[in-house]
Amino acid sequence: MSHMPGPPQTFLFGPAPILRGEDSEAYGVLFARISMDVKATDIIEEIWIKDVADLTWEILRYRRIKENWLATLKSDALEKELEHILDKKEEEIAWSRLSESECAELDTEVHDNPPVSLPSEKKLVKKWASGDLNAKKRINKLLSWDNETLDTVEARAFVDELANIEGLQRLIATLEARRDAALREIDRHRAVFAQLLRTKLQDIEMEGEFEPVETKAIAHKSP
Amino acid sequence: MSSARKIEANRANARASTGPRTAKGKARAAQNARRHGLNLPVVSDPVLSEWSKALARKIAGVSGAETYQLACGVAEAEIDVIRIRHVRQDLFDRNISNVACLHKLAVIISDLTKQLVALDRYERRALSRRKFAIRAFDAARQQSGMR
Repeated sequence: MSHMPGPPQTFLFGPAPILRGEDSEAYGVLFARISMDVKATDIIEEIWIKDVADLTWEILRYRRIKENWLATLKSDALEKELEHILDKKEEEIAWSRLSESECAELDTEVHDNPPVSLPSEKKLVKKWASGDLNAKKRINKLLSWDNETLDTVEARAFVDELANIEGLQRLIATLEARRDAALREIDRHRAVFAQLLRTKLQDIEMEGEFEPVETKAIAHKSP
Repeated sequence: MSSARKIEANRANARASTGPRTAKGKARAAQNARRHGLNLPVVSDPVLSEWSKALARKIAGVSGAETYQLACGVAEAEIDVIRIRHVRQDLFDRNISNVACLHKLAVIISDLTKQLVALDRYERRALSRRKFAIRAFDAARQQSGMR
């Protein structure tokens, strides 16, 4: 079994970028995988490998945060919108806007699901988030009563939080650019290392210090 | 409103107070304006300086004095990078109790944006310093290898 390199010595390279509640073992595995693939040839490369591992860890963290945040934003906005619609519905403001058939439809809906027994917005959104088709249908119907769609609700939520989303995206882009820069520097450093090695080999060949060992024919004595 | 006697007493008390008198108090007051100390060079701190020298020795290996000097530049820049990341992690640790709640973390990060941007500026400079220090070190090694 090949030896998996663990995270580098804190003494030389500083601590791992693990926040409270994060899995330090997972960081160790990530570091080992990167380290095994790149195989540092000297301590400078070890520094870059630590950089790449740390940056990758942070990129994954911020991507996770972004995804989660966007999903939460969407759910929160939808929940608020539904609360608003249901309030309106309770006040029967919507009645005046509806056609006769829509009135009948809504009447049936309210009759079947009177406001008091309507699933709370939270429950409905939770069901929708888990991919429940009935919940989706119901939400679409409720939204259409207020001339809204899932897309418009989502768009409004994103516009409100655009600055924060952009900030997070910028943070991820900066870390990605830094990681690319570290990889480029490893390439450049390795080119220097290869050049150095070539020169050393040429010197050795020119100096003739190491003569090839002549193989002598071994006379086999017959027993 | 304060009486004239009270105002006079306050002024007299204020004149009597001229800051800390003990060495410990003075040392503490000297740190009043210090926020993170990232502007201070590595060599000004004995612990960091030792750390930097150990790293420089590792980087330079068995090469000559000139290469060791260049390795010191690499080590100092690297320690700066580590210091900055340490301060950033401290900032997160002080503000985040658990990363499990990701959307809360997003809000906290957006609240910390100003401080994170400032730290990022320091990190960018330190990384740039490290990059050029490594290039200089590589060039010196290449030259000494070609001689």
